[in-house]
Amino acid sequence: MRILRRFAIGFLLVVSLSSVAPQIFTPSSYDTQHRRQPNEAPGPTFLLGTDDLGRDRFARLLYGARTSLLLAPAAALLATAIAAIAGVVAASITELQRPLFYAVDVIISTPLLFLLLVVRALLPLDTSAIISVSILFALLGLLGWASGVRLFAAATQRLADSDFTIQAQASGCPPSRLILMQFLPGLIPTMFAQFCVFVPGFVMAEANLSMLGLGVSEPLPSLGNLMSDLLNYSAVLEQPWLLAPAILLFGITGSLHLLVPKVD
Amino acid sequence: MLILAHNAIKAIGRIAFRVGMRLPMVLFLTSVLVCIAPGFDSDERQIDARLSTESIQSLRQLRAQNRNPLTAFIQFVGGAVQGDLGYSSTFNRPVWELLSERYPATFRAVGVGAFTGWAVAVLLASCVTLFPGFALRGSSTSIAGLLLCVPSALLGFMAIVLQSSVASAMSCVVFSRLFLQMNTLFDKASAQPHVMAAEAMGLTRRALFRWHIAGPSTPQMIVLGASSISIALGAAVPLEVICDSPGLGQLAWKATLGRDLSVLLGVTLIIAALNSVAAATTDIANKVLREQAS
Repeated sequence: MRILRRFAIGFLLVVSLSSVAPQIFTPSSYDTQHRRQPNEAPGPTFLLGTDDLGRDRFARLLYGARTSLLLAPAAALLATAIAAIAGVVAASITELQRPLFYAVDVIISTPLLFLLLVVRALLPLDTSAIISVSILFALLGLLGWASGVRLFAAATQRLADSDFTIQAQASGCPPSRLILMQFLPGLIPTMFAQFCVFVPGFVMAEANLSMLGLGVSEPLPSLGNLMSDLLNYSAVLEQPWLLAPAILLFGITGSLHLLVPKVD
Repeated sequence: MLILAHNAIKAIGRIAFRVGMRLPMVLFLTSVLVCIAPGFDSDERQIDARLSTESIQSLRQLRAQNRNPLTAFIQFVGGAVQGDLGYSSTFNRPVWELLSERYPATFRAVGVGAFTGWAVAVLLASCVTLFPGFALRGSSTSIAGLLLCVPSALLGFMAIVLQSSVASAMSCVVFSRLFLQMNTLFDKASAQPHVMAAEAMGLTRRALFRWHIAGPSTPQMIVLGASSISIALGAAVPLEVICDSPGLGQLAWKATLGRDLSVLLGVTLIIAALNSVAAATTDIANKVLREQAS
């Protein structure tokens, strides 16, 4: 398991570095059109060939990975922060616990994808691709936090019941100081675990939405919208390199799942 | 017999109460999301080049007037109580008609997919616990792990290629999410000191599993069963769209493309109701089981 984890970290590092600076690996940008070379097969110039608009598939793959790898962790960070705050509040202020858990139940009652569809349907018609992708991931962060609240509330409760907290309370330590200096540092392992759970979930949600044409819009690439080429079965048989985005997504989410630490 | 009937009526009453408490809040949350969405005042007619700036402005103002989430919520609930869920601008039909036409396909796929996925996860996790060995554990964990890394939409595509149904793709989605949790559940139960002591004293593996591993884990297994419905519903949109299955997921997708809010609210209502019924039933079944155990 340890070897697999090291491999996962190495793989994620390589993918992250190559997608942070794709210019090093490919001279083309994601929207550069080589109009004389559409649907080109892989070769020394275009490692994964070109699409029907003559855009370099390898460049689009690197830029697409960047979209997913930059924005999914940002959304996961937002969701983790909201879940941690809600969990700490629920455990610390008993009067708020029931209404907070009720709100969590309400949010969980509707699958995330349906809520995303409702808001996605209402984006302004003239939204640019970059703003649209930012809104999509912000929504993932703002709507996806609910599943982590009970975990944080339980972890905070465990800290609140511990001997050192009782001693601190007896010594006159104010609750705000207790939360800031004791509970939050104690919650860091839980936060990391929850963050690691959120990231692959959000990458997959984006992939699902983009494959349906409701996620990241053209010309901006993402792993999801690059995979929509796979829906043409006969093309995949003739051009197996179209599977590259699916393989990369598979590698990224698999590695992220391997990194999730066990929290009791 | 009378006590049994009384308990059953009480349980149904509790489920109805919980669903009744949860649904209005889900609708209100959806109304809030709709009203605060940045493009709420946008209308497809606004990109019509034939319209003047004044006409576009008046269209925008007309939509902006309805931006109060409370008013939108009251209007929708008022209509829903009278059986009127609005009119679909995309399909030119009443929303109620569309929903009643489409829900059987989704409910059937979700029912079959969630149950099959859950049952396979329970069965495989039981086999892994009953017959310890690297081969079975490694292969089943790898299959679940591999499926976990494939987006539902791609699984739907694979279902088409393999000439399989939406329900089978849904069961793969459910299985991948539940198997590892089920395995952890059984592993934790197996690692209990009394279970290890019983094993050391020569209790057979089968008896150990029946009385000390699966038995005490039943409430959690039921909870996972309820979450399988939620997982299957979440996968309904991509799977139904890719597999061209005429269900609620496909309807929601078409409504999103057509910015058809009344249909989206109607679909959300049904999905939330189904999810809430499953969650409330599980909670109550869980409580009854725990009471019986104690």
